[in-house]
Amino acid sequence: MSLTEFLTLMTQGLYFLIALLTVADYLRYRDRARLDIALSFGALAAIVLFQRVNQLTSLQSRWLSLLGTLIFVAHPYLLLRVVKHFRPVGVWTHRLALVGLIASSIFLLIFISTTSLPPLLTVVIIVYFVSLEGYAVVAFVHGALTTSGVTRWRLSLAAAGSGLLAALILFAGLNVIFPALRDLSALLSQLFAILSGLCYFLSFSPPRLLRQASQLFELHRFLRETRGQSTAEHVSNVLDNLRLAATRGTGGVAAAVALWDDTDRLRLQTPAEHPKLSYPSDLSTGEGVIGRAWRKRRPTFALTPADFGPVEAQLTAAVNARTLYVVPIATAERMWGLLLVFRQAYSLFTTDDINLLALFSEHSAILLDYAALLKEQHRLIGQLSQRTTELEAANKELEAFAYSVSHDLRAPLRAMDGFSQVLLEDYTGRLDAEGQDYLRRVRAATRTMAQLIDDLLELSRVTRAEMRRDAVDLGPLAQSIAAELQTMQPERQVEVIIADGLNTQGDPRLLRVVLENLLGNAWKFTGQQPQARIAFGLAEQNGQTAYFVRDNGAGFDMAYADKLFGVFQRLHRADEFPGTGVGLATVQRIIHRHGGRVWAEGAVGQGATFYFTLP
Amino acid sequence: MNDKVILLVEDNPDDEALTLRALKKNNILNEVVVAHDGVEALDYLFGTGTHAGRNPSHLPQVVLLDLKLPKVDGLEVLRRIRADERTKLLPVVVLTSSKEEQDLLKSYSLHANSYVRKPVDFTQFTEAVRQLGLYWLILNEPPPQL
Repeated sequence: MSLTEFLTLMTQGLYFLIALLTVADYLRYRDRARLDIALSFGALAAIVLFQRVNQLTSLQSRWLSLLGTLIFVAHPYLLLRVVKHFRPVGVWTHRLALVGLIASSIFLLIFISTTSLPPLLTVVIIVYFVSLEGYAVVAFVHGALTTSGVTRWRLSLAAAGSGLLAALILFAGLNVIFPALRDLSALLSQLFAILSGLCYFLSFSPPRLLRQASQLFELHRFLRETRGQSTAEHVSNVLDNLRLAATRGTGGVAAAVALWDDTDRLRLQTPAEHPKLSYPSDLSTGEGVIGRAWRKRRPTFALTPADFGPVEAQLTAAVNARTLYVVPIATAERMWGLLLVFRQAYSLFTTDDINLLALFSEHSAILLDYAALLKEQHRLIGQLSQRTTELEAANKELEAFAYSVSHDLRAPLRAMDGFSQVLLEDYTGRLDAEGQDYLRRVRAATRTMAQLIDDLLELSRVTRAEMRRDAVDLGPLAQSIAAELQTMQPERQVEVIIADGLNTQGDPRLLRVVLENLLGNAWKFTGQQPQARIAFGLAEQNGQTAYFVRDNGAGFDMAYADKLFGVFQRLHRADEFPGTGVGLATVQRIIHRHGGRVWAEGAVGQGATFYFTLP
Repeated sequence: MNDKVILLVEDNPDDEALTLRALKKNNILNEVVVAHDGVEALDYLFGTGTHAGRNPSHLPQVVLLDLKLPKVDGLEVLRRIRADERTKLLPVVVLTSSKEEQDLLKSYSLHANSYVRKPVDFTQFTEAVRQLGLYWLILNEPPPQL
């Protein structure tokens, strides 16, 4: 196979492919523009097909050749019909094209019997052909210049394709007129044919990868312009950029943004440069493309005024547009609003445009999300620092209060107790037994009060105190507490069993308070037990390891178990077992501050077990 | 014995009366000078103000110092005692209601010689005063007078 043959085959294959793709495109969208494009390329493919059939069958059918030639002659007219969709074609141009088509066809039919046309007629046909192709070139170039983005890129390719096709015809004509140049012009014709096919292919049915590549430039520019616009102050900048990029990238006449506002309405933000583009009411409920795009969260478009609802008609009229793209500005997290892009003319490249707009919109939505997050974060940080300040103030106040209680509340008690004692000592003779009993009650009450104050201060201290986390062995700690208890009541016989290996992490001082209270309680409530027993160790409880302090003392009714840890809650009368009802509340607070849990089990007369965990 | 003066710095008249009674009950018959606020205590020690003319080189045997005082508080009194060459070795016992950690820390940081919490129970209070008197007036050797 020679190079020429190979090129021919390639060219034919290419045109065939374009025809197939454009027909498929028409079948998908079924509009006039795509029909005209499909016809235009279908015609070229048909010529190729006829040539092939002629070659393969060796029939060399004149009629088939003629049909092919006729279709070829009709191509400029078909191309003009395509051009019509990109820019208006004058009535006279249209008529002239028709006349040219009919005249060329008649000439060909008249001279069907001769092997070649007279040169003059050839020139006429060539002029007709080249001028219309040239007209298409001008129309595509004009279309490319007046638009931007992907459309511009693809129209430029269409223009190149048409120009190359015109050049091909021109060389074919020269071939007829100057037979000497046959070889050169044949090669050039082949070259132009395949280049033109390539240009058309890229323009009208490019593969996905190329379509994306053609968006790269716009995308890059958009990203560069939105760089660094991710703080709350830049929200309006983000949206302005989005509108600008959308207009530029699709060759639209205007772009606007509708945002979901605080009042739960989708409101159009009138762009400064298009003051007439306004709509006062909610856009989300309409039946047209805008309402649909909002509800379905999908890009939607109305390609011709026939597809407009009343809202769309009003908006497009304000900017003289005939096509409307609606793209959600949304992330998975949040639907911010819609991007509306208005185009004057119908575009063949809607899918590309929409894809590009979807990328712009999503990127903008991410920036908006980020800005919103930052704003929320700033608000929370502000709130947090305010809370912290308030808490610190409250804590200071509490500390001052506790300090004052510690100093001032005890002094009067000391006076009450002291002077009662003075009375008992110095005035015994003048007080009868009942009077002396009353004074003793006053003294007992003041001591109780003093104990209450001390316990409450302890409770408040364990809440306020800073926590340390050290390694603590609870065993020796418990031993020393038990020893202290024994020292205070040397007459008591209590068997205290403390397990080994009670190592944990926590605040040693606070944990000491816990054990003082729990062991102190066990000591106290076994007071009426002839053989008192207290055990401290580790046990498996409901699948978790818990420390326990168990005694065989007075116990308690489980019905009141939830009251045990409340401040001032007591389950025993003061004359049975003295106490203030603050100790277990203190224990609970300390355990909670360590992130643990505390609970108790017991029965009246059968002792009690207190469990606590330290994670 | 009588030249061993006790300086009691106490604003509460009840506590003053009870302290004096406890001292008397325990047969501690030393002269007790009572200052009712921080300023008065410092005036006494340095021979200024209401105590102008007093010879400041005659120092008490021990100062029983309450912390919560009007005008100048106990910790400030302690700080000034320690800051002055003449009184920096003077034995000072903090005798107060509170056992707040910060009070203990600050008192010892300012070189208090002892810290005693006044018990509410008067029997215990009397016992505390007895031990204080025994220790600071009899057992303890005071620093040499400078």
